[in-house]
Order: sequence, then structure tokens, then C-alpha cells
Amino acid sequence: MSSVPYDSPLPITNHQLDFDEEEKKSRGSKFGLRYKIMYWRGRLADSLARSKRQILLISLILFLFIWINDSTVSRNPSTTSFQGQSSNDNSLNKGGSSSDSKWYLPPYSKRSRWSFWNQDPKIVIILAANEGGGVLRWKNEQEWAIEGISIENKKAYAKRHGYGLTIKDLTTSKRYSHEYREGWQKVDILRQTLREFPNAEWLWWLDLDTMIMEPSKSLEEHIFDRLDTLADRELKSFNPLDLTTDIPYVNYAEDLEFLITQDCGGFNLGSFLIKNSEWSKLLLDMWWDPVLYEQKHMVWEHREQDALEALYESEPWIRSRIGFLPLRTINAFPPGACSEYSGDSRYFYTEKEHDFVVNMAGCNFGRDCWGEMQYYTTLMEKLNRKWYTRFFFP
Amino acid sequence: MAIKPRTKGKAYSPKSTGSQWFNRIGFKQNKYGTCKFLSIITTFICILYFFSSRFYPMSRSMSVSHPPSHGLYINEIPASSRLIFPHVEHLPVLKQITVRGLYNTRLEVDGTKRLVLKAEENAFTDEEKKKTTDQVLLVKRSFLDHGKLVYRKTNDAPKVVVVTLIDFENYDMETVIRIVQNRVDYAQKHQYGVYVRWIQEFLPVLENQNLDQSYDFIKPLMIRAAMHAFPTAKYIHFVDQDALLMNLDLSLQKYLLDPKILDLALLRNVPVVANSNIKTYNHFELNSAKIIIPHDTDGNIDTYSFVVANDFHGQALVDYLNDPLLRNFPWETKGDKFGYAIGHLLQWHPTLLGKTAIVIPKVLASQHDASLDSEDEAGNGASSGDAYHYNEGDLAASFKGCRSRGTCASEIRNMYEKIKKS
Repeated sequence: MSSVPYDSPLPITNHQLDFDEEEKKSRGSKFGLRYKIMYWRGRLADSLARSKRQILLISLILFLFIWINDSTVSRNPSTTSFQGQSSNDNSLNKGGSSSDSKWYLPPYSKRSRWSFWNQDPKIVIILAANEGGGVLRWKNEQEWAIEGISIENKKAYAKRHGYGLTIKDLTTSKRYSHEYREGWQKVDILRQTLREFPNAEWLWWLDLDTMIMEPSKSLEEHIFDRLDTLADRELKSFNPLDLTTDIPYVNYAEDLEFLITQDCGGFNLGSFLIKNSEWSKLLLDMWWDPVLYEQKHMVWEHREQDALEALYESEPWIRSRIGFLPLRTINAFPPGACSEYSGDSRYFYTEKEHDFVVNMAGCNFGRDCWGEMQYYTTLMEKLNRKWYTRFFFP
Repeated sequence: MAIKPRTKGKAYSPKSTGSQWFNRIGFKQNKYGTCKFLSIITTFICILYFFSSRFYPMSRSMSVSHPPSHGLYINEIPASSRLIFPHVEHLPVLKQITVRGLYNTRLEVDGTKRLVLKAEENAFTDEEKKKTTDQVLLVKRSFLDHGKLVYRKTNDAPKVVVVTLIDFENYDMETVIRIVQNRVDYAQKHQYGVYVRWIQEFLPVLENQNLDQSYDFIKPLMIRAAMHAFPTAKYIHFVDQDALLMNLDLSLQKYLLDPKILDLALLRNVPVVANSNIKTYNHFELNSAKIIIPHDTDGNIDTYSFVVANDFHGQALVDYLNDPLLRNFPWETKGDKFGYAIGHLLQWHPTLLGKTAIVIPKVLASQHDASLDSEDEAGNGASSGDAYHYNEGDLAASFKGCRSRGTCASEIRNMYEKIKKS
């Protein structure tokens, strides 16, 4: 027992005795603890039994709360590629008509209102500012003013709905001046933004000369929640370029990942939405190929727009995931653009119908950008004035 | 008030308005009455929750329906077997009819005659077949209807489809039978699908309808057709007609598609094509390999036997190669334009290169050295041991250049006998 030598600094005591006492003590405390546990268990059971319905009611309310909260948080859209095709088994020979219906889930994941810790925006607005950047000619004061107004407009909108905003510089640079690279800037910026916002779900590209006229509308309610009825995938309703409407191997069962608009001259990439996905990354990579561009750079006047039109025309993997929104949903024109079609209600901004965005496309080609911007800014303010505003800003 | 927990026994005092309310409805005012009432509500809500989760998506079902995906022909025929190949016995008759006789031709503005593909054409029904006595018409219709076959069964859909083009103009019947039989033997052993079509079926799609000049670019058209015919297949394994699957026991899935095995076959940090500054990646995500393609002896892309995944990555590659602008580009190569074009795409599009596994030729298409057949040369020992030429046990042997040598039939015959032996 006493293996400790005498000259050890440790105090030497009778261990046997010590143990007995300790045991006694612990036994006593054990009894005490057991009693306490039993006592408290009794108390707890008692109070539980007494307040059974309160507990039931509270858990019921909690359940209801979680349920309602949960139903607003939607699930991620499922991506089963061959969903449509497998359901077409029977209608193979009939061709044309198929009643292929898939459960519609909006193409974004709604964030719970209660997750305050997640700071990454789900939708990021890219504003292409500083066009030219004063490299080839002086940037005048009106251009500076337009830039200020446009940025302020997007900033307020992004803040209001919790979107991200990134302002990208479109300065003319040597990198893009070679005839093969003239239109690459947009694609480069998109790829750069995808790297900067890896958790974003959608990117919304906006040219500088645009104005969000209805800042109260969120993109979710305005576009994504009704995407299945809003987007045209087969060029049925509007086909200004007279593209072939039916090419082999296009699979409309795929999700929409690229939402663009068409104006009187074809595809318009002044305002479009692209999903952050593997497909989009591949498209942004494949968009430019020197073999295609070498043959067409003299013909493709609108560079990236024309290149995309050519890809859309002949490549089913691209056509499968592109949807066309009506021009006026995200890209309405002022009367000056597409002016030869004046009177055609598909193109032009209509105040009464509260169109979402106006794009003063091509205003720097012989039109008055500053005047148009001023007009739409005043109109926007007028449309969004509340009855109580006049008390504060007479 | 009613929810507020009470600690004392006064909970059931008549003062409580909640209790009065319960009383009015008719529940007995005792300990169990209120509990019963609450549990009825709870059950009701649970049932409601259960049913609402069942029916919730229904209210948002898609109101717009889109036409189903179709191939080159709009009206398609469901195939009964996962082995889809044409009637090889029609070859002599097809040779007589010739391509001009198979299709309608259209006179173009510049005076040339072009073959036309009728996309809306309906397939020949069984009744019509019975009525027809004209043998030539039957052969013609069976040729035109073959492209309408698609496999849509979901219960035993193959994971891998072996795809081959056959040619009735330049090959004799014996050789074609050997080629098709070889694919069928292999596929049956591993429950794979087979998709074989006449190369002449794709001529009307091309701008340049000279078969010899457009030969290479019919391959991507064929792969796309196979992707459509087997939409649930994971991988398309293209095997050129001048190649034979020699080791029928090697399952592609176990032998190559397994990341561990692919890891050993992968070529890292080598020029994508010979003398290119673009090199394959050192760090390659083996699980996400969508295109598996070998290098040939010169370090260029070899298209005699390769694997493409049937998803948007694979489709992007094939669709890009089928783009008329790419197809009709004057590629500066004397050899295989198809392989050269793939090499171009891989060099220019890093996203695609990141999904492409360039592998040693041995695993997919080892080149058969014809000189070894005839006699035992001195160099025999050296060349049979390298990774580029065919050795016994390799998956496939390709007879590259046999068309220019004019020895395809004999080489295929020699090697086909070797499979039989093993």
C-alpha cells in the first residue's frame, strides 16, 4: 500500500481509513442525489400533468409556425434531365402534342426570412457602367450624370430586395480591340462575376442606359414565380429573325437557365438573366470560338448577340435551356428605339401597364440620352410617389 | 389568457374565459375535456398537413406543354430491343439502288442536285409492308425508317451504348456482318445497347454531300442520334467501323469508367494535341469525366474508339462539332478532320478540357500493326510491348489507315478470327 518512500514530499496518511470515509461520504451524497432526482422528477411530472393542454397548445402553435414558415421556403428545383422524355413513351408516334406536365418549382431557392447569418445574395445585378471610359473621346458631364442616376437607381433597387449589385467597368481596352475579341468583354465580365459570387443563383445583366421603373416589384414575383407561362421557348409568339423554330434534339424538359429578350432586330442582350450553373459556365466558355468568329466577324455586326444567335440556330444543347421573355418584362424600349415599328405594343414602354424596366438602347446613336434619362427618371419618381410623400418633400 | 400556464390547482376555476368558451361548445369542463378538444384539433391539423403536402405541387403544375424532343425525323418508332442495327442483308440491294436512288433530290439554284431528308415522313406500317411486293421499295423503306428507331423502355435501359457506323458502298457484306456481330456480341455480354446505322443515312444533313470529303463529320451526327435514341444511357461508346472490340470480357464500366482505373490511364500534363502549348490538367476531377478520348501514336486526338457522356457536356461537344460553321471550316489537316476539330475545341475551351480525360490509347483503341500479322519482324518484340499498339487482351484494336491501304476487309477478317479463338 505504502509504496511511497519515507522521504517523499507527499503527505503520508492511512489510505484505508481515507477510503472508508470517502465511500461513506459519496454514499451519503449518492442517496441525496437520488432523492433529489426523484423529487424533481415527481415535481416535473406533476407540473407536466397539470399543464398538459398548455404544452400541447404551445407545441401545436410551434408546429403551425414551422409549417407555415417552411412552406414559404421552397425546395431546390429538381434536375432530372430525362423527365420529359420518359413521360413521352406513349405519345411517341403522335409527335406534336404531348400532355407532358412537370411539377413547377420556381428556379431559385427562397431563403428563409429567419436566416440572418447568410449574407450572400441570391440574385446579383451586374451594371455595365463607364462604357468607353473616355478612352476614345472625352466623357461629357451629361454622361457622368446619367451614370450617377443609373447607378443610384440600381443601388436602391438592390438594397430594397436584398440583391447583390456589382458595377463593372466597360472601358475600351486594347485587350478587346482585336477583331476577334471585340465582343468578348461581356462574357469575360459574366465569368468574372460568377467567380466573385459563387453562391449567387442568378445574375441579372443591365446596361447603363436602363432605368428600373417599378422598384417595388421583386424579380421573384415579376419573373421567376411565373416563368413557366412567361417564357417562350419555341419562338412561337415572336420570331423577328425568322429562325428555324424546330431543330432536332432540342429537349424542352430541361430547366431554363438563360433568359433573354428579342427586339425588332433579334436577340437583345441589354438586360438578361443567367443562372449560376455548370451549363452557363460552359456556355460562357463556348460562346466564342475563333473558328466561328473567323468566318463571320464581318457579318456579325452585333458581336456577342449575333454569335449567340448563330449558336441558338444550330446547337440544340443551347436551345434547350434558353427562354425568351417578352421584351417589355425586363427590357422595354423608349419610342426612339426600334422607331420603325412605332405602334407595335410588344416593344415600347407603357406607363399605364407599369412596365418594369426601360432600356434606352442605342440612345447614343443620334438620340438624346440625357433627355431620355431625365424623362424616365421624373416619370419613375412620379409613378412611385406615395400620398404621404408630399408631407416630407413638398 | 387561455394559453397562460397555471402552476396552481386553480386552473379549472370558472373565472377562466377560455374554459367558459370550451363549456359553451359542449366540452365537459374537466381535465380531460380540454385535452380531448386540443388533441382533436391536433389530429385535424396533422391530417391537413399530410394532405396539403400531397397536393401542394399540383396547384402549381406546369400549364404550358412543350413538344417532345425528336431526332432528325419527327415521327419515331419505339424499338423493341436495345440492340438497334439495320438489316445488313440488304447491303447488295442498297449497293444497286445507290444513294441517289434512296433519297429524293432537289435542284438547287446553282444547278447542283441535293439529297433531301423528309423529316415529317411517316414510317412504313406493317400492313403496307405486307402489301408491297416490290423488294427494292421494301429495302429502300427499311433504310429510311431505320433512323426513326428510338429506345424508350425504362425498365432495362442500358447504361452504355456501343455506336458504330457502317458503309454499304465501300465495304462488302461479310465485313459489315463481322463488324455488327462484334458489337452485338460485346453488348450482349454486358447488357449494353447497340446503335448501328448506315453512314449514308446522314448524307442529306450535310452541306457537302460528297461522302469521302464529309466522312469524318458524320461521326458526331451519329453520336447525337445515339444520344437521342437512348436518352437514359449514361455513356455513348463510339467505335469506328475500322476497329474491333477484341476483349469481349472487359466491361467498359468496370474497366475504364471506374475513377480508380481511369486514374491509371489518364494522361496528365501532356500537350492536348502534338506540339500544343495547351496541356491537359494535372489535377483532374476523375468523377466528372464526361469525355474519355485516347491519344494516338503522334499525340493527337484519336477518334477510332472513345466515350462521351450523354449529358449537356457531351452534347455540347457533339453539337458544336455538328455546327455547320465548324463542320465546313477548311481544317488544315490531311488526317482525321474530326479528331482535329475536337483537338481545336479542347484547346480553346478550358471548361470542356476540364471534363475531358485524355487517356493512353491502349485502354480504348490500340492501333493494330498490320505488319505483325504477316511475318515476325525483328522489331516485333519492341513494338508489341509498347502502349500504342495492339496487344492481346486490349479492349479494342483499330485499323487506322486501312482505307488508304485498302486492307480493311482482310485486317478485320484476320482479327475477327482472333476474337473467336479466345
